[in-house]
Amino acid sequence: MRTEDVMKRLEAANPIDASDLANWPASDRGQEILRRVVSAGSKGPRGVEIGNGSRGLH
Amino acid sequence: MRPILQGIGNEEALLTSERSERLKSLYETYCPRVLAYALRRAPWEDAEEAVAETFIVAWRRLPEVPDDPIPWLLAVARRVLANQRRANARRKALDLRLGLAPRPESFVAPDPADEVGARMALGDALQHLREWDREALLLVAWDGLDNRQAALVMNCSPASFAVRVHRARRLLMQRLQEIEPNAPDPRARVGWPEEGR
Repeated sequence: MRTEDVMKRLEAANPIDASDLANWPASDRGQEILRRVVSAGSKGPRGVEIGNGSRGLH
Repeated sequence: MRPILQGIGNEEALLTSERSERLKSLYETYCPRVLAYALRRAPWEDAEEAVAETFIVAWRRLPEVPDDPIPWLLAVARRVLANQRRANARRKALDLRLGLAPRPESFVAPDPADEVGARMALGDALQHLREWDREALLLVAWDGLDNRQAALVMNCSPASFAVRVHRARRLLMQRLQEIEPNAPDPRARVGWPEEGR
């Protein structure tokens, strides 16, 4: 076995292909997350709490 | 595709609408890769949360986001996920003290090697790597980054990354050979010449 073979095997074991998620940003949930991001950003750099455990729109 | 993040100066000089458009463009273009990165390392709900927090950071620091944003975004997501794991561990530790956690195994944070699964020797071999080595390999193999981009995520020089990821590949290969001593050599199937003879 060569290291190149190991990397090919590792690539083949990728459980999530980003191309499968290409439509997620346009989905209801993706747009909900975007609105939440924009809303947080509209408060300004000092108005955003990172990691506050909130989920979804508030 | 619209050009993004070009000509960004002082954040304060940008109109809110322009910033929003740039943020939306960044999100729509790169969100799938950030989400995929997070999903390989965390359950779906936590991964979505990590995506949200990553792009909130991007929004706050839009002038700092480079023209090639994916290493920057994955570096932020990596830190967000690490914070999540620490928070989850603290919460579970508290649950255990309160008698709410049924099993100590729940302390084990989600790990990318778990995603590969116990079903595969590869997953076992990955679990034997140090976290840094595993992350370096997966950034290249799963996230499709080159050494320069992955070095940015791991906050080291490209030369240092190249050396360490090469060593990680060798360690993974050695571990696989220990786990699968009788596995057929893939070279035999394609007629590659044997090495060292």
